[in-house]
Amino acid sequence: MHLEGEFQAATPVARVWALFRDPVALMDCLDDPHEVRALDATHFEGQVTTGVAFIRGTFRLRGSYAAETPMQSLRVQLSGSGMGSGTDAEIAVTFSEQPAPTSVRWTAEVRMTGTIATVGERLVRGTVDKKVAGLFENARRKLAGP
Amino acid sequence: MAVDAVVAKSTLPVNSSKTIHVTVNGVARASTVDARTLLVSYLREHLTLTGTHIGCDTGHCGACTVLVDGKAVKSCMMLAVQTDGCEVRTVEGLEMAGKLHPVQEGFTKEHGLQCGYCTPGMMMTSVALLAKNPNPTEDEIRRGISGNLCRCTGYVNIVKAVQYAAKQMAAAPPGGP
Amino acid sequence: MATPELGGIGKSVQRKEDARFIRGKGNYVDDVQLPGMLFLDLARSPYPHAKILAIRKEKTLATPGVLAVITGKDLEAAKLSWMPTLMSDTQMVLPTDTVMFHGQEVAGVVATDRYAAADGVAALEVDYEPLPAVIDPFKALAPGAPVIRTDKKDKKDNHIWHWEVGDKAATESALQGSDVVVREKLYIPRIHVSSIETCGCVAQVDAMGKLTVWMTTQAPHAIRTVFALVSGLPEQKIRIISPDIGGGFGGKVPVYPGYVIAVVAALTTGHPVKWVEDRTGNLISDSFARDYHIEAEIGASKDGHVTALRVKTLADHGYTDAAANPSKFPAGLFHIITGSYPFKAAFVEVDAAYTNKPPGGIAYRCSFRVTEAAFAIERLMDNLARQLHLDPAEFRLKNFIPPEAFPFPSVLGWTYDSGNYAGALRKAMEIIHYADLRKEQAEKRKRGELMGIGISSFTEIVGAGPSKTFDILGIKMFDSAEIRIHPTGKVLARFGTKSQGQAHETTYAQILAEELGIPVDYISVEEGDTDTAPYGLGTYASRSTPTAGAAAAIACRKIREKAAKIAAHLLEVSPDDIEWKDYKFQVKGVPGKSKTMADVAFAAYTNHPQGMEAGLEAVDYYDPPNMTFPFGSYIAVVDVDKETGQVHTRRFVAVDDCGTIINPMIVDGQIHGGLTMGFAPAMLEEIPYDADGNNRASSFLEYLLPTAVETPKWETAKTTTPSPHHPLGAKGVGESATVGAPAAFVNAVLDALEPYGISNIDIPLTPYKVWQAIHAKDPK
Repeated sequence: MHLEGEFQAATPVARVWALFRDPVALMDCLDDPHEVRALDATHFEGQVTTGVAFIRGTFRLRGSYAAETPMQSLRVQLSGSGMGSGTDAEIAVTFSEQPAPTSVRWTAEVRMTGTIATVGERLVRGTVDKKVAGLFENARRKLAGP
Repeated sequence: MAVDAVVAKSTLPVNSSKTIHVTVNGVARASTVDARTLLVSYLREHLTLTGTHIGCDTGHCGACTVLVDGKAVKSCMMLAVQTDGCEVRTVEGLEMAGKLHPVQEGFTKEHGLQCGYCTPGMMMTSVALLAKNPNPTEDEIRRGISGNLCRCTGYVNIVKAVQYAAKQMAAAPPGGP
Repeated sequence: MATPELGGIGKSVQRKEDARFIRGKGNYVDDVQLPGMLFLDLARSPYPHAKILAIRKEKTLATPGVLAVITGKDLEAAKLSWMPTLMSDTQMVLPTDTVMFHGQEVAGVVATDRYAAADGVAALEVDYEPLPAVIDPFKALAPGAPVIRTDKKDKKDNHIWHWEVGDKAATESALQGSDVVVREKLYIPRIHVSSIETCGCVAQVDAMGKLTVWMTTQAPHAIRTVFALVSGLPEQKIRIISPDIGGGFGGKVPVYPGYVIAVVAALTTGHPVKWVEDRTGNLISDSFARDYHIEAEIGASKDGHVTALRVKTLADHGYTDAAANPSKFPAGLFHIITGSYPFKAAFVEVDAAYTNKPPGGIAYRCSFRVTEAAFAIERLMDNLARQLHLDPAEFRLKNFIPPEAFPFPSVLGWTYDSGNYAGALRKAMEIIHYADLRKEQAEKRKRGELMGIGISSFTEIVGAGPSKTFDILGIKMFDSAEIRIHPTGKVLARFGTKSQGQAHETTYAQILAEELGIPVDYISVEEGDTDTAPYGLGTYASRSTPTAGAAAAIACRKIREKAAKIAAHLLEVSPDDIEWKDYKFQVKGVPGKSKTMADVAFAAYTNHPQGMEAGLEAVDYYDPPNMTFPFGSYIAVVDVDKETGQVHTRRFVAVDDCGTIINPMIVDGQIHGGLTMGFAPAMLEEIPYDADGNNRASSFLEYLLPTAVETPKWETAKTTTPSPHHPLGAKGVGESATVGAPAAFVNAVLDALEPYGISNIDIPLTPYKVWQAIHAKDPK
């Protein structure tokens, strides 16, 4: 499923970039309990405890950064697996200084497989929407602070 | 290591029920069903019309296809209460006064079935298809039945069965709803 | 009333069973409704490997409609928490402490109806402690891998067995002496039969303690014996009824935990209990097919004659070896892998590994690893032809075992009964206009268009099997027919096999019509009820016509022997003067002086000769002297879209030879279905497990059965080379096309990609995989 959004960050792009480029800081924007560690400059892994429809539990999380243009755009590939299900997401984020100080636009393509796919998009969309939008909302809040 | 309790609760109102008025294969029925009862359960378990089969529970296989107001519907994807006031036709309603429907005749004459499990749904989809398009091309038939899975026949003879029925129906349109 | 047509062998008689199926009056397991019947649903593990810390039943038992929760601990008390598999391994009915795969049954919930049972499953609280899961079979065999079967005291690794056949040294030296050797790794993924009807049963115990189970089983008699051995119930107090079966394809041979739990539930509640699995349960826990990692090499001399074949294979069996192979053949009949060619040396070895997956290794419309074998040899023959710069058809024609070489002893120990391999391939080439297609292809290649032609000239091995080598759990693989002719000349015949769509009611009736001279309309065929049918090993592995069909013919001939004496008595001549001619008993040399089987039948009950037993019936338990070896040649023509990797099958011609054909219409139907189940794994189907052990295809949304849109328009033709040892010359046909088709598709696609020099793409050939393969060679 396709999701998208945008927000204004009241802080220079360098700080915004730094947040999005740091997997631990970025994943800290998830509402669900989680643990994430960086493996190298572009790869990270960890786990997140969450639930969608009747599927709840702890999911293994793997992620990587790709197609980066510093201060302008990046892509994050995320894949979660567990509880007989898998979720693959590709999040693309672009940053611009118009309007200033920083404007953030994002899109997310989320694909679900395994048991979770049997639930059907219409039943899971609301939850997924909330979780993804929540991540960006938390990022915005973090950037609004000191 | 994390210990997870896997608990999920049904949010469906188990106890709410409703009386529905449905015409099934020409017979008017008044039935009280739970709100969450699927149409396929209503047909199979309340009315013991077991010709409509369950194959996948997710709307992919089409074994449960019936006609609701003439439209082919996957009855595992519809609640019984949604058919209140509707006309439902199942495989048991195809044969009229001892005469097979041309689609039934086509399926047996052209060897369009083997295990017979997908057959009722496949025939109901074919009936709906021919009602909309009485003279379909092979390609139109293949697309028309693509929501119904058959694991036995490889579809070649199902296509022939629908073509047979189309020919028969052009010569003598069947009666019935 | 006029006598109906005989409808004997070779006639496209309309199917008898259709009368109920087209009216929605079939009787499948889920259609069985009994008074007071309860419903069983199963809770399943979300983890591929985990310790069960606790199962708390309270909330489930408080759920409206729920009557009982059954766990592994409950079964352990009755020594029923484990059961034997058909390969003499052990399998959990329900776990007592550890779950072994994602989707494994963890507890049974019994309720008044299926909705309440599902509520109960949702309310069940299970605490798990995840354990490291072993998913890749190569890693499973690596030193230090976590041991999966810790329940087996002496088990220190995940290796199940090693099996080998052939002459290793001779093969090594023959390969070394070959001018050309090709070698390829082929992975045949996990696939699932996915009959449209899932598995299920209704178990009932009557006041006399008799257990009746209506069950989706392809082998009811063997199941009864297994139940008796496992439960300790006396075998005569167990009745297995296999009613109409909505497709089997091998998936309904094993005993699944749900059946056993339903029986336990019926015994403990005193009510009939129905269990019908949902599609997700079916796709994540019922036995799988294939999952063979094959490494094969074949050699040839530079003039294009094959020399030797060597194969090393790793089989992923999941957490238990629950395959359905004959006991002596843990890797099935994989050693048919020398195929249609006279290799002088061959060596095959297979190792089996445990992983945290459900049991694998059952059939997918193919007997005993024969598809794996046919796929490997037919794929490698194409690669070898390419190395030798020979046309793949020419290369095969040069190497086929010639018709005069039959019965042919294969280097790995089989004796092929009969064959005319070149005849089948030439016929397929004619129908498809092979030479023209090659010309067209050459022109297209000049324009950069990708068109491919793929051949598969397979040899199958079916009809298991001779009792000296074939048994399952010690039960010899015979099959049976019991025929009774009633006084009015009407027939009731019962068989040890069980149709799942193959139309035994029609086919067997035709054999009887031919042998007895009684019209098919006067013959009723019954199967699947162990209280009435004679013992047999059931229907799978294309064995029904080779075994029970032979039993039918021989039982009829026993009847004819007695009937000839009655005819002689009626015609007042000596039995020596009677001959069976034109479906009648005739007095030799006196045309017109004859008696029909109906005349004789009436006399058998009303006027039989003094000293002779009354009645006209016979039973035969047929022990085949050899396997049968159906064969065929398939040609696929595909066009590949370079930009998307999409493969379009333009034509597919299948020439099959299954010996004598009983009903051409039904045989063609079997071929159409088999081809579709060959197309499916070649192009669409796979059960993928991620690295963490999650099954990622748990519905038809992701496990892609072919629809009418993707399925090619099959073109079929036949040659007929009867089996010399079968009483009717028939060989069996149900699986040939599934065995033969996959290699034709892959060979066609690789032929289309020839300009890129790609020697293999593992099936299924999804557009993405094909695109990736092209893109890797030509990144433009």
